[in-house]
This record gives sequence, structure tokens and C-alpha cells, in this order.
Amino acid sequence: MEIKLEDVSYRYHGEKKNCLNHINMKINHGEIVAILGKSGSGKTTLIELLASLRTPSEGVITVGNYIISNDITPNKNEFNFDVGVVSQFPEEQFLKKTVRKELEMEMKFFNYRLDQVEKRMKDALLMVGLEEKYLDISSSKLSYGEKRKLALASILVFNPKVLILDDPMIGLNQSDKNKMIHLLTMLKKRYHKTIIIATHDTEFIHKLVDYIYVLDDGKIVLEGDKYSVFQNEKLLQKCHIQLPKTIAFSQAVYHRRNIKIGYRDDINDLIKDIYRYAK
Amino acid sequence: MENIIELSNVNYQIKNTILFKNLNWIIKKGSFVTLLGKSGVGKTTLLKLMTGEIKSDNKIKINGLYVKEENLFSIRSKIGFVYENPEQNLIADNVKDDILYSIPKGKYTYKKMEEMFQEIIKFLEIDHLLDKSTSQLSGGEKQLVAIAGILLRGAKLLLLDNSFSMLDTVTKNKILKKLKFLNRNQKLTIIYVTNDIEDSLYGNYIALLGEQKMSFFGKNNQAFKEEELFLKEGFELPFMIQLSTKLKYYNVVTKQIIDINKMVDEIWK
Repeated sequence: MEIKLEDVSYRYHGEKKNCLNHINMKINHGEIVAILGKSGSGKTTLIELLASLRTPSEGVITVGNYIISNDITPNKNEFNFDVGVVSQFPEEQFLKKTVRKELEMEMKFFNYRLDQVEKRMKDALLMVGLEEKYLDISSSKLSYGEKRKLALASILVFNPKVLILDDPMIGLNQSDKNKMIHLLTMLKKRYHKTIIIATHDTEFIHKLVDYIYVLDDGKIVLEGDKYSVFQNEKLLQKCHIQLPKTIAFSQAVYHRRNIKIGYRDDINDLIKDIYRYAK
Repeated sequence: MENIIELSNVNYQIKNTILFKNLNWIIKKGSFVTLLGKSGVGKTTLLKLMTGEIKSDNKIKINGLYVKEENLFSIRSKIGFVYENPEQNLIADNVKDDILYSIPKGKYTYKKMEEMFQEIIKFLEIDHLLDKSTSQLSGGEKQLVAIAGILLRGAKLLLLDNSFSMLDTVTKNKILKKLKFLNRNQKLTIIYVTNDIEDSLYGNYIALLGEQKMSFFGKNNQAFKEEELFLKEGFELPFMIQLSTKLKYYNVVTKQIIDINKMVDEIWK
């Protein structure tokens, strides 16, 4: 599904200032896009607009065939079937007592055949790295990281075309993050999902994104592929965005010694470069 | 230095799952401990056992007092606990009220409270949040307000349960630096649960919680020699530690360097 925002602004009720200002975005089918920005920059509001949880004060959002504007909202049931959203506070999303009931509810709602339900639940849990035994655990007993995994599983069960994830890495440790990178890459490559991730964790997204939007004070201040975006060190610093470590190192080498050692995602590739240039 | 936390042979289980078995852990006053561990391994439970929020078998001492009913008030007055989900810390609708709420009623004059409040706002650099209501704050901003309230209480022991997970890295590092300052200058003891091993560079001890017991507890430098142990629990060592170790192996540098710029200067002398 293709997603487009045309001149979208949003103002909270009773506020004097716009929270989002004239946002234009175009996200192609099957792309992974990151929205970067510091805390309070408007990321979550933007995510909520894309998820049709709010309607824009001005402008139009199109998600595939759905249109979201001040006076048009898509049919909630149809929209929620195509667009899966994981919010920043996953526990707010849980309505049922056990993990099993939570996952079943979504599928029953979308009229999945009962014999498929069990299999899909197990598949979804496996994908996010939770074992089968979690099915009968109470969702309130889960740790924060596990809740985030469950929230993701609860949208994967009904196989949405678009995934919208608000800071999906909070509460995950590094190996969980690596698994998440693997999972999202697989969802993109094999199933051509369109994935939007709001975050400030550049270390996580630089391994998987196609395109980056940088949000600051409700405006898009920078956009492009990761290499062009990460070259704007000063602007990013102003937006409280830290460069991924490998890229920060390459930048430091360039600034201090005027040597271009290339941008690397992986520390071992970086070390090979250093070795080559240091000799 | 005396012990501020003593756990001796602590056992704890939820239904049939054993979370801790004969867990021993001693923390000296004035330590800044980074507590790492896989998700679901019991980091939050461990902190809650210390505050008595979860009942245990009376084998935990805080500040020399056993964690049990009659000591709870005295123990908790010395502890500041910042939850992972900032909603759990916030009480009032107004940011200022919320921060001031953490001072016990009647302890200080109004003037003194205002002074303390201004001091903490300046220290954390969060004056831009004051004219907002707490419900309008973003996740990260809520975490900042929560830590402000806790610091204002004058706790001697901070238990931080992933308390900065929603802050951007730049702000998080700034706050960690300030905590390190309090740790050094006021002997504030800090136990900091995080998923980001990079944060451990601000502390001086690392604890790695494995299944049922501590896999590792010791000074940072010792911890970084145990790469295998950390990998097993899902943690790659901090970037600059890895870089130093590998470049040392290839004889490009001779020592461990944490600062990126210094590292560049060392490689290209």
C-alpha cells in the first residue's frame, strides 16, 4: 500500500500552536520508513494520524484507498484490517486476560476460521520470539519487553498490509533488537509489507530503513536515504539525533584527518576499513 | 564503604516458575550499578523485592534493615524508584505540582520547597516543560518529570527501572552524566536497569542477571573481559570497547579508548 500525506497539519484542542505543521510525505509500497525525532517532536501524533486514531486539522492523508481528512474518516473495521498499529504503551492495547485470548480476539473479530486461529497464533508468537508456553500466561504478568513483543504479535496474526510501529524497540535488549531487525526485513522482503517506524534509535533503524524523515518541532526538517540524512551531523545534533556508532566514527575520521573511510553498518567492516587506511 | 544492599540466598518464585534461587548480591554505598539481563529474567522483580513491593523471604537488607513490614516506611523514605512506564510515576495534572508532590508534606517551608524546585529544574534543564499539563507530555518528557520528582525527594538509593527508555539518546546521556555527578559528589547509590549496554559506561559496576542468579557482578573493566558471558545473555559489549579490543588485536592501537575523537587521534598519530 502506498501512503501519502499532503500538507497535513494538526493542532490539539485548545492549543495555540500547531503540533504538526504542513507535513508532506510519500511512502512507497513495500518500503521501510523511519520517522526520527526527539521526545516531543510530534512523532507519536504523526503516527496516530497515520493510524487514523486522529484526523488532521488540515490536509489529506491517503493510505492505499483509504482517505483520512478533517471530514472524511475510513471505515474503522476495514482500515484496521489493513493497517496494524503498535502504540508506545502496549499495555493500553491489551483487553483480554491471557495472551491466547488477546490474540484470538483479533482474529475472531476479522472472522478467521477457527482451525486457522491456533496455527496463526503460534506462528505470530514464534515470529516475535515468544515461546508457545506464553499463550496461557496473563498478559499483565509479562515484562515490558515481552508486552511489546506480544503487541506486535497481536497485529501480525491478522496479517496487515501496513505496519505502523511507535518506538518498537523500547524494552528490548540488543539480541531482541537484532531479531526484530531480522523479522522486519523478512516482512518487507518476503511479504512486501509497508512499514513505518517512529523512533530515536538510529542504531536500530540504520540497518533496515529505505528512507528517513526527521521531525523537529512539528516540521519535517530533513529527509532522504540514510546515507544522505546521516551526513547532516549538525542539524541532527540540533534535533537530538545521534549518528549510528559506525557512521559517527567514519565522520570523526573525516573531520579530524580528512580521510574518507566509507559508511559501514557493521563494526567488522569498519575495522577492516580502519586497518586498510591506518597502514 | 558499608553495604547499602545485601541479598543473601534469596529465593523467589511465581507459581511454578523459579525466578531466583539462592541469589546473593552485595552492593556498597556509593556504587553506580548497571543492571543488565534478558527481558523477563526478573530485573524489575528484583528491584521490587528490594522496596518490599513484592514480598520475599526476609533475606534482603537495605541500609542495614531487613525488608519487612515494620521497616518498610523507613526503607522507602530513602529509596527513589522510577518505573519503566512513566504513567505509573505521575500523579498530578500540572507538571510543577507533580514534581513537588514527591516532597513529604510539612517537611519544608513553602519558600524552601520553591528553592529546591527551582534548583532541580535548573539541574535537569526541564523548564520548558513547566507550562504543560502532564497528560500532554510525550513518553520521554514524562520520564524526565518522574526523575525530577524522585531526585527532589533526596533519596539515598535510586532504583531506575529502564527509566530513560523513551528519551532520545542525546537527552538520556545528558541525564546519565548528571546522575554520575550526583553519584560522585553526594555518594548517591544508583541501580540502573537498562537494555542499552552503552549506558554502562556511565556507571562503575555491571551486574548481569541470568536465569535464577547473577551471571556476573563486578567493575566495568572486569566485565568487559567477559565478552562470552555477555553474548550468552544477548548483549554485545559497548561499541568503543569492541572497537578497542579488536584494534588492539590487530596492533592498530595499544590501549582501550572510550572517546571516539581520541581513538581517531591515536590511530592516525
